[in-house]
Amino acid sequence: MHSLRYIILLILLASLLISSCAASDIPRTPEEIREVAKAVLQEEILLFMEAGYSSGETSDLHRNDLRYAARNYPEYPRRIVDTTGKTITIVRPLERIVAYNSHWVTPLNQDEKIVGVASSAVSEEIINPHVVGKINIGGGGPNMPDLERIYACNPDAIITYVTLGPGDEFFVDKMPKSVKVIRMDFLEPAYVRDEILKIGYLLDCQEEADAYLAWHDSYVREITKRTAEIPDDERIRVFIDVGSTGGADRRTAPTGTYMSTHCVDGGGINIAADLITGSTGVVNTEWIAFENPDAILALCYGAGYGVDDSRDLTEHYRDITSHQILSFTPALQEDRVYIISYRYAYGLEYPAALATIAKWFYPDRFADLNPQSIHQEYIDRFIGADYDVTARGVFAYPNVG
Amino acid sequence: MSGMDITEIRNHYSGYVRRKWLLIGFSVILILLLSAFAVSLGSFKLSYSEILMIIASSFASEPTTIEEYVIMTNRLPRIIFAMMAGFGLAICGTVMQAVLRNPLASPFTLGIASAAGLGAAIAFILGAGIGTGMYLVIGNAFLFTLIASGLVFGLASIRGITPGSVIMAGIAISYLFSAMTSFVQYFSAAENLQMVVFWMLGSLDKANWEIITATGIILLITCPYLFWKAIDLNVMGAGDECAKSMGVNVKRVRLSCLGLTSLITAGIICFTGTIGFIGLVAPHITRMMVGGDHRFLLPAAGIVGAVLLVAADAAARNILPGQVLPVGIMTAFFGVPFFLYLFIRRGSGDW
Repeated sequence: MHSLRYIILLILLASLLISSCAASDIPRTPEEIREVAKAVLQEEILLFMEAGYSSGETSDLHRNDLRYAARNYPEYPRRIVDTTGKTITIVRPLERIVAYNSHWVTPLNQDEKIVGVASSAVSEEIINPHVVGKINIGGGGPNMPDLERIYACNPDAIITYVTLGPGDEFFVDKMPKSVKVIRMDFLEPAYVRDEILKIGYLLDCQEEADAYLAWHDSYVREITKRTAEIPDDERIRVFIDVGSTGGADRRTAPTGTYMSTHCVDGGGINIAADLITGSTGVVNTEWIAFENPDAILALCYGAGYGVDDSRDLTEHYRDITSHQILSFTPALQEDRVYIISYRYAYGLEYPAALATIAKWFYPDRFADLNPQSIHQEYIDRFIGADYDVTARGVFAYPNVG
Repeated sequence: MSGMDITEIRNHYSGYVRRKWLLIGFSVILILLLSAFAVSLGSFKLSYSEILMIIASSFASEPTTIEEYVIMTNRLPRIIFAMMAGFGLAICGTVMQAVLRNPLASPFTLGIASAAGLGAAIAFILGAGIGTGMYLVIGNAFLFTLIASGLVFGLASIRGITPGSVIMAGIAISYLFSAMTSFVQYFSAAENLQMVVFWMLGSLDKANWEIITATGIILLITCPYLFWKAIDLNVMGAGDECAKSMGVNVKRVRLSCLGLTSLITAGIICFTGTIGFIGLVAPHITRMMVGGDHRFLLPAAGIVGAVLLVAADAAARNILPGQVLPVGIMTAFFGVPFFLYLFIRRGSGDW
């Protein structure tokens, strides 16, 4: 059992090392880009020749690709490893992108490269200005996008999720080989930085990526630095609630989920962190009462930018607080039940959501933080929409300044 | 036939009846012991004496301590509701198999599961229906099961409420409601869809004293009639013509039994989600143990259903510490091996 733990720990450490190395390997300066382009081009030319004359390993690039790569050298080819671990090599600027996952588009100012977007983005046009005039390819949530509309976009790349939506069997297998399918989430705090750096390099928008990351880091690093200083015995124990079907059993989020990362980054201890293997599990309210959490952090699949009444959040709050068995926990006795909208917690605005969570957990330590102003700063700087977060939308309950 | 023979047959029959009642009595003891064991399982470690004290004190006052809430609002309602739901679904399955003369009949033959699923999906996804909060889903599930039953009876009555017409109408309605559920789900957000899926897996987590009272009233009203019709169900097993010749109003019995089983099923699954397996297999398990006489089969099947569901829920709550597994899955894990064991031991393909 112990050896298994060590193996898991080693694998985790190795993956952390690999990911940090991968992040640091992403070319940023013109020289670095040229060096990578040179190495990739050399490798691909050799592979191509080997495949042609020696029946050796097949090249990732075809004759036309190599022609483009040579023509666009030294800016191209560019190569990344996407979040699924797949190597993506592009030989020319991507100009017609179907963004099934479009969280990154407006913040990185890449609106003009987008030709198709998912229905889920169109439904929130108010905060997604990049969707205007683009082809709606359908999909979003559990629904599949319309393949023929994607064909109609005549894309040179599709950017889609890793953990959501259809996978390679839909996009890769049904697309011409020339269409690059790049899978990144732009949702998970643990690797969102890496994804922003990679997309910035791939689409030649490093400045925008750097600007976003500077804003991101200024808050996330400050918050995590302060929470790291909290002694273990002062950290609050948190139950993460991700809904129920109306009864005494509640769904929760273990380690490895977005909400668990938010909770830990915000200085909390997720009481169900190691209870469940997988992305979600169900626990009984008796177990929650037994664990006696100091706070309950609930994710509500409602509210967001296009909603102006807080009913979804307050109903979720009432659903939790109506369990009499939980009334004995410090969480309910001290009224520390916090509800956050998924639309706020998941996305590139998440530093504001993290600030909200940290301030909920430790109001004294984060008294100087103003999550709403962080959120507004994100909207103003990276979305550019005429949207006042203090007057519109519902993101968290109870509200923090 | 000599007087000795008649006495011997009488004694033999008395012994037969005694054995059946003994078996039912044993099952009652088993469910009580199992419930006592189940109520002691959970995150809070409470001794039997503490549990008894808590239950006794609850008659005098409302719960005030966390231990009292653990027993009186969490474990006990869940176990009692599991007993009632298992009992009701198993009886419904037994009656359905008898009146439709079909071993694959269950409370869901009439499309009830699909209808309840549609009601729940509409509540979760569209937020529309009768009631608010938790009762929106329950109200919708109940309403739609009754609508499905009404449609099945309406369609089947065109062909004279025969087993074939009821099953055909049930299949048609079941597919129709399933398709409508899929249609609603297709336009759902992922998170709402997840809620529907969780609901459909079945759970006893909504159990509370109000729900127990409501379900109890339905069972108290309906079960005596079904028990009263046990002999008619026995006779109907020989065929409609035979039953008619023996004075049974087949159409009325069939219609009333189907109507009442629909009501019981609706009254249970609107709270639990679709726990379909109990109603299908508990009657078969019981039939292998007590035979096909519905005077014994009905109560015994009910108790076996209760045993299965209480055991499955206790396992679902405790097999992985802290976690709750879907009870619908656990009932199959418990029931199928037992069913197969009896099936192989019995060695007959008859049902």
